[in-house]
Formats: sequence, structure tokens, C-alpha cells
Amino acid sequence: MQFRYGITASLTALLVMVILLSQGSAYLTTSEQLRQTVREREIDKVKTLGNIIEQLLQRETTRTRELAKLLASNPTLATAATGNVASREQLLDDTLKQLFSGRQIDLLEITDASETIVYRAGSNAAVGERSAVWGVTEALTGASGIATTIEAKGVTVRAIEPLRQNGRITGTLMTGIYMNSNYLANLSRQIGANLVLVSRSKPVATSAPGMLESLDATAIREAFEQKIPIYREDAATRVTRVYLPVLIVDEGFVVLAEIDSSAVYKGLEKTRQQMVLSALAILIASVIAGIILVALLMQPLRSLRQRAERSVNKLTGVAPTEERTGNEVTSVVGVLDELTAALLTRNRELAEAKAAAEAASDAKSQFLSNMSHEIRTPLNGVLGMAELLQGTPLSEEQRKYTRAITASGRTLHELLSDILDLAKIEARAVKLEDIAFNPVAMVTDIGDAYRELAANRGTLLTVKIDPTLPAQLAGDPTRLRQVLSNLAGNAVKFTEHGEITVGVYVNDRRDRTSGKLWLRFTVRDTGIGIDDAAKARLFQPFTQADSSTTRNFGGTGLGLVICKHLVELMGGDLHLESTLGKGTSLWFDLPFGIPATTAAPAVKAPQSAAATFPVRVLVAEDNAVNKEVIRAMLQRLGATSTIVENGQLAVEAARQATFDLILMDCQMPVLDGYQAAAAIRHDQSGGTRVPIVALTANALADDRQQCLDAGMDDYLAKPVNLGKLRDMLAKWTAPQQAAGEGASTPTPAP
Amino acid sequence: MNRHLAFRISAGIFLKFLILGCVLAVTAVRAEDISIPGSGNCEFVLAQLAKAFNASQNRHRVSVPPSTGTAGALRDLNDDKATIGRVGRPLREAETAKGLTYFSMGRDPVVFAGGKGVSAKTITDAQLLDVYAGKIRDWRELGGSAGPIRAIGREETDTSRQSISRVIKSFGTMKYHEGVKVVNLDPQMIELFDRYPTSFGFLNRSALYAAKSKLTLLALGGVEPTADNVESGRYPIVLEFGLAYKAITLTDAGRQFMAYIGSPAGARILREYGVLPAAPR
Repeated sequence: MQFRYGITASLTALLVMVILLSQGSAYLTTSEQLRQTVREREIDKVKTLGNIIEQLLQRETTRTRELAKLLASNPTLATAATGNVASREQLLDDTLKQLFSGRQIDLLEITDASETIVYRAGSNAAVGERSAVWGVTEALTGASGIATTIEAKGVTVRAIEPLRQNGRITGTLMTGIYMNSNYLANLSRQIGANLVLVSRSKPVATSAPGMLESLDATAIREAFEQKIPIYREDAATRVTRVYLPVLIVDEGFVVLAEIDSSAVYKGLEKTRQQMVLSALAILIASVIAGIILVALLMQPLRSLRQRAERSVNKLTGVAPTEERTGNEVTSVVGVLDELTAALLTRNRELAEAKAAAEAASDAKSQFLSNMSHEIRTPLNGVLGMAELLQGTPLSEEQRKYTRAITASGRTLHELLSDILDLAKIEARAVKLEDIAFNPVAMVTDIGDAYRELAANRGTLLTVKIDPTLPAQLAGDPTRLRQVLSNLAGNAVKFTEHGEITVGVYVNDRRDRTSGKLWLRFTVRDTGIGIDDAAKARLFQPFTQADSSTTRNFGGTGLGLVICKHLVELMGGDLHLESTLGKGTSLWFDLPFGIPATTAAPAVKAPQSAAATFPVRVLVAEDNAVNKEVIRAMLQRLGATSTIVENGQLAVEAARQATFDLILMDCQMPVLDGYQAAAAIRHDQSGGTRVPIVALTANALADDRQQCLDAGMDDYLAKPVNLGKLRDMLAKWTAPQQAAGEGASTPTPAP
Repeated sequence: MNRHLAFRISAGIFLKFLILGCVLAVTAVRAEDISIPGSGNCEFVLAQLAKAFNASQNRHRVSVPPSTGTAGALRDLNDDKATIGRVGRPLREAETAKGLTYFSMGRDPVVFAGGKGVSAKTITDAQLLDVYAGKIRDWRELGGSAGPIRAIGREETDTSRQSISRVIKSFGTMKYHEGVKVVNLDPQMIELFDRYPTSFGFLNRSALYAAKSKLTLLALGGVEPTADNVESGRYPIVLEFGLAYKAITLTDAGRQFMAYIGSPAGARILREYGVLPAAPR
């Protein structure tokens, strides 16, 4: 199957996108911050340059003024201002030659008292012209002045001082410096930036001629209007420019200072490249970590899918091989859909199998029921006839044969009972009773029942009962009796000239907190014992210690298996200890309830074999042999019988005559026993109720209850013998029982 | 009973002191020093107002730094470097759209003045244009004593020049003669007035109080820039100045100072320096 990783891919892509966005955002933000920082640093630099330029200009202005004052204090110059032209020229040339050679000033002008220029050096003004420079007129009034003049190729800063001779102002002296392109070039070298000096109307000087082309008129206007430095950056050339408004003495100008920031921006670019590399490294690491994380997160989903596929495979036996579309979730949903479909199919198959099994079970039950019925019916005839035959005068040989017939019949009966019990156990159909019983009486009875058989084999059977045993407990006495009887019977069977002990004790070591009393039941013998190999097979059906056992001692091998199951059903466990040739010990612990009432249950006294019952009994029986058997038995018990062969006749007979007891077979033609009992009960409603006892080969667990539900009062399973029939007659016909028979009076059940 | 009464009195006194302390603490916290940067037009008169305001109360201090122009005030307000600024004109739409509010202080005549050596008394519109065009260079041509006219001008965007150009249309865009000095700020104009006795320039009248020398105010076409002539409209060249602020950042000190300017005391100071106060708000 091809796996699709739609969600994994989507999550990974989303993760990559988020990381890309965050990294990109971080890069852009940091890059912008860096750019801003660099820009601010460059702006600070040009701002500093602006301050330096202003200070330098101020210094130049001051120097010019000081020089003017110094020269004006020279009396020679004052004299020259009043002398004739020829002598003045010579005088001033000699005086000022040294001054110009030191290049401390760029120009010098002297006027007389009428503001007429009488001397000039470094100036374009003509001698004899009237000076138009601001401050000359004022200087003639005694005031020092300084003024800026915009020239064709620069700005001139002029300091004007009055010339005095004997306290009288004879003229003015003006010194000046040119702030032209040469001056700016010199200044530019000092501060490391190209400069342009711009007046309101035009650029007046520049340190680099090429800069004039790059002037930004808008920035110049802004600087003039706003009176603040205006910054411009040229992204292409990485040049930073500041348009700095300055006041040179008394005139406003803008100085453009340009610095090369390319080195700084190269550093910025390098930093950006490093940031990109770092971001890429982080991105790759994050993507790898993200893919791992997503894989881990999706692992449970993949496991779920694989489990689901395995389940599908297990359920269907076919591995899902088709290619799925969609992502992990939809593919898992697809597999789960398959699983659901497989489960539904399996459930349907299981339901069909269950129905088939139930049908088979029903068939098996029906088979067992039919088999039981069909075996018990002739067996009733065999055993009944044999018992009747034994009651007739017989030769010893004939008596031996009849005993053999009886023994074989009983064996067959036991085998049938064991098979039915085992079938019920395997079908988990065994239902336990929880009724009060006397454990002492039960164990005593069992001891009594087997004591004579043991004695016949030269074995002494002893019963040991714990004196602290309560007189009444709650449990299933029938099953307990069955187990103990079986174990005791086995002990008798496998012990010759030995000893058998049947015991029951209160087991104080078991937990009593649940309100239960634990009893330990033991059956010990000194018989043939069992070897270790045989012990392992002992509790398997149809298994005895060895094959010779069957030959020597008979039996089906079902007894111990049934006992073990019954003990376990009652909450205990059957244990075995045995030594070959020395004997066997079997024991089990069982919990019993303690009834609230301590009244002892009624104990039926056994009926004397000589007791007779002069009563009228209606018998419904369709089997000819069994008719004869029941007729003979009732006759032997002193009863008068009317025998009919189906239920319909029984109903009619009950209507026509009065009977003390009705023995009703269940499976009969025309009208079965259940319907007949119901009809009789209907006829007798409000009148005398004649007891009806089922006499039937239906000997399964539910059969008794079915009979009672049909209106019958009791139940007697075939094969029946004289003792059981006697007890039933005693139970249900006591008032009519003949007196003086020495039998105790039975108490009918309510 | 007496003990209970004593306790109540003590508790009452304690509570009053506590409340007083809280009030003083809050008051101390809210005391503020504000600086009002900006135009030179209203610099002098605003300084007088600030001085009077500071004297009238002792919680806030208002200072008026040297001129940076109206542009400087707007720049500082937009950069949140100042909470209130002084402007030489009402705000434009683009400026109010940025959240600025204008507070008018009053109207001030823009006057033509000469240095202390000027004796001329009046000037006409045409003479004014000729002076700045370099056609008239001596005060004798204007009826005064002989002396060169040291004409001082301002750039086209200057508030005073724009006020003049609203009346004398061509003045706003005329090209000055090269002998005219153009300064950047009002204080520079005042400095040249002081330096050159025969200087000539223009400025709103209250700003000229900052001059150290006694200046000569010229009548325009024979109309003197008196308060009465301004109020009557006979003297036509006036400018309006005031304060600008962002309502969202205006502090208690700014509000109180503006309230003081609008008060009778503030109006009296404005009138004292020739400013026609704005109508009561």
C-alpha cells in the first residue's frame, strides 16, 4: 500500500512558511533597523560636519575682523588714506606685501572719508569708485562692521574698520576673505566631505565641480524655508548629502555637504549577508526539526492505520493493497471503514455461526433428550421386569441371571446419566440449587449406602463428621451427594480388604468474611492407588488409570471428570493424592451459606419394603412392556391400577372415575401427558385435586419443571423401581395407606 | 464619652491631613515645565505673556526659546518633541488634517521700519518695490536724511512677506536686488536693524520690541500702523499668529497658558504690544 503524507506535507509546508515568514520578517526588521542606524550615524556625521563648517566660517569671520582691527590701528594706513595716489600705492604695497604673501587675507580695500576706494588689492573694485559695501558708511561713523557679499564666484566676508588719524576718521579699511571654490576645496580636504555653497539664487562655490549637477533644488528650498538640515541619500552611489542652512555673517546660505557612505553601506551589506546566512541556517535547522516533530506527531496516526490494517488483515485474511488517495487521516478513515465493513461481515458470520451452533446445540439437546427417552423407555422395561422377576420364586441360576440383567441395566442407566451430566456441563447448562440441607445426614446416608458394598469386598467404611458442623447449610445437596457418592463408589470399587474413610470438616483456614462456611470433604482409601502418569489423565473424559481398570473394575471414566466439574461449579477444586499400591485420597473444599432459620428440614423415613398401598391409581402409558411393568409393580404394592394408552383416555378416565393418584407418561400419542394433566386440572378446578405424578423417560433437567408447569405435582423418572414407586405412593397417598404396616407417615409436599 | 469624642476629632484631623497630602502629591506630580518653540513673529509678545503667566501661578513654567520659525513649530509638534508651538499664521488644511489645532492669539500689523539713523516717515507701495528692486538706494529719495538704504528682505515663504504680498501683490514674488540681504529668521532681521542705522526692513510690530536700538516705524502711504488703524482696517497689512497643538497630547499646562492668553490679563498684554487680541472664545 502506498502511504500518502498529505497532512505531514501540509504541516511541514506550513511550518516552513511560518519559519520563512518569521525569519523574513526578522530579517527585514533587523535590516531596516540596521539601515536606520547606519543612516542616523551618517546623518550624525554630516551634522557634525555642518557644525564644524559653521565653526570654521565663524573662525574665518573672527580672524578677518581681528585682522581688520589690527591693520586699522596702523597709523601708516590711516595716513595713506589721506595721501596722494602715487605715494599711497607705494606705501601700501610695501606695508601690505608681507601680509598677502602669508595669504592671511584675500582682499583689502581702503576708502577715504567720502567712501571712495583709494586702494584695493585682491579686489575687482576699481580705485576711485564709491564703495557699495555694507558697513563702509557705518565705519565712517566709527562703527566696526562686517558684511557678506555675494560675488560671481563665491562669497566675500568683509570686515570694515574706521581709519583714524589723530582721533579723526580719515577713511575705512576693509579686509576680506573669499569663500570661493578654492576655499571650499581646502575646507573639503580638512573635513573629508565635498561642499557646495548655495545662495538663495544660485550656487556660488563648490569644492568639486561635478557636484553642481547633483544639486537638489527641492532640498535647497526646503532647507531655506524650514531652516533645518535636509538629508538626502543616493541609494545608487551610497552618498549622503545634507543641505545645511547657515548664516554667513548677515546672509542666509545653504551649504551642501556630501560624504561618501559606500564603505559604511558595504559593511551593512556584509552584515545583511551574514544575517541571510544565519537565517538560512536557522531555517534549515528549523525545517529539519519541524519535519521530525511533525513525523513524531503523526506517528500515532500511522500506528493507528497500521493497526487498523492488521485488524483488517486478521479479520479478512487479505492485506489492503489498493492505493489510497487523500492524506493520512482520510487513509486511516478508509482503513477504518474497511475494518468496520470487515467487522460487520465478521459479526454477520458470527451471528450465522452462532445461530448454526445454537441450532446444532438444539439438535444435540433434542438428540440427547430423544436418546435419553428412547433408552430409558426400554430400560424401564428391562429393569422393571428384572426386579419383578426377582420377586418371583426362582432357581439359584435364574436368580443369578436376573441379578446380571439388573446390574447391566443399572450400568447402562449410570452410563446414560453420566453422558447426560457431561453434556450438560459442557453446555454450561448445569443449574445449581441453593436450598437448605443437613450435611450430617447427607454424609451419614452416603456412608450407610456404601458400607454394605464395601463390607462385601472385605473393606471397612468409616464416616467421620466434625462435631462443630452446623445442622443446616445452604447449597446444592443433590450435586454434593452426586460427587460424594461417586467418590465413595470409586473407593469401594478400587479397594479390597482395606479401609475407606468418608469425612467432612469445617475448614477454619478459609475466608469466612463473605458469610460462607467452608467445609472440607475427604474420601480416603487404602486401595490400588494410581501412578503419577495416570494421574495426569485421570480428569480427562473417558479416561481411567489404565485400560486394565475398565476391564477389571468397569466404569465409563466419566465419574471423576463430572465430579471435578461439579466441584468447580460449586466454587471448589478437587484434589487428588495417590500412591500406587497404597491408596488414594480425594478432597475438596466448598463454601456453603448459613440459612437464617435453623429448623431442620423434614427427613423422610424410608418406607418399609413390605408396605402396601390399597389405592386406585390411573396410569397413562403407551408402551406395552412398561404398561406391564407398572401394572405389576402397583399390584405388588397393593394398589389397583387403571391403565390407558394415551392422554386423551386418561382425561376421560379421570372424568369417569375417582382415583387416588395418576401416573402420567409424557410422550404419548393422541394427547401427551402435559396436555392431559392440564385438561385434568381444568376439569378438577374447584373440586378434589387428584395428585398427578409424571412417570416419564424425559429425564433431563428442564423436564421436571415442564411437568410441574403443566399442572403435575411430582416427577418420577424412568427407569423406575419398586422403591421409588413406593416412596411416591407413600408421599402422595398417605391418608389411604393401610394401617399396621409399620411405615412412617409421609408428609405430602404443599 | 469624652474619649470617644477625642478619638473622632483625632481621626478627622488625620483624614484631612491625609487628603491634603494626597492632593499635594497629585499636584506636585502634575506640575509641568513646557517650552513653546516656533515662529519669531510672536516670540517677543509670547515671552511677555509667559513671564506674566509664570508670575500668576507657581505650578507650571512656560518658556519661549529662540525662533525656529513656524516650520520649526510644526516639525516639533509632528515629531512630538513639543506639546504646543507658536505659529506666525493660521494652520492650513493639510496641517489640521494631521491632528493639529490652531489657537489664535491676535492680529499684529506688519510694519516697515528703519534703523535708528532713519529719519524718513513714510513710504508708498511703489517706493517699497523700488527699494527692494535697487532703484531707490538712499534715504533722501524717501524724504529722509542722506544715507544708503540697507534693505533687508525675507524669503517668499516668510509670513511677514506673505502678509505684505496680500496687499502689494507683486512684492511676494519680486526678485530682490543683489544689494538686499535676505535673512532666515526674524531675530536676524532685528540684529541687522540694530547693526545698520540706515537699515530698512519689515516685521510685525510686536516683534520689533526685541530690538536694542530705537527703530523708526514708517507709515504706509501715510497710514501709521497704530492699533486703531489696524482695528479699523485702514492699515491693511496684518498677520495673525497664535499657537498650535495636538489635542491628544495637550497638557494641563498648555491648556492653562492658553486660557491665560484668552483672559483679560492676556489681552491687556497683547494690546500693550500692539497686538489686537483674538475675539473672546
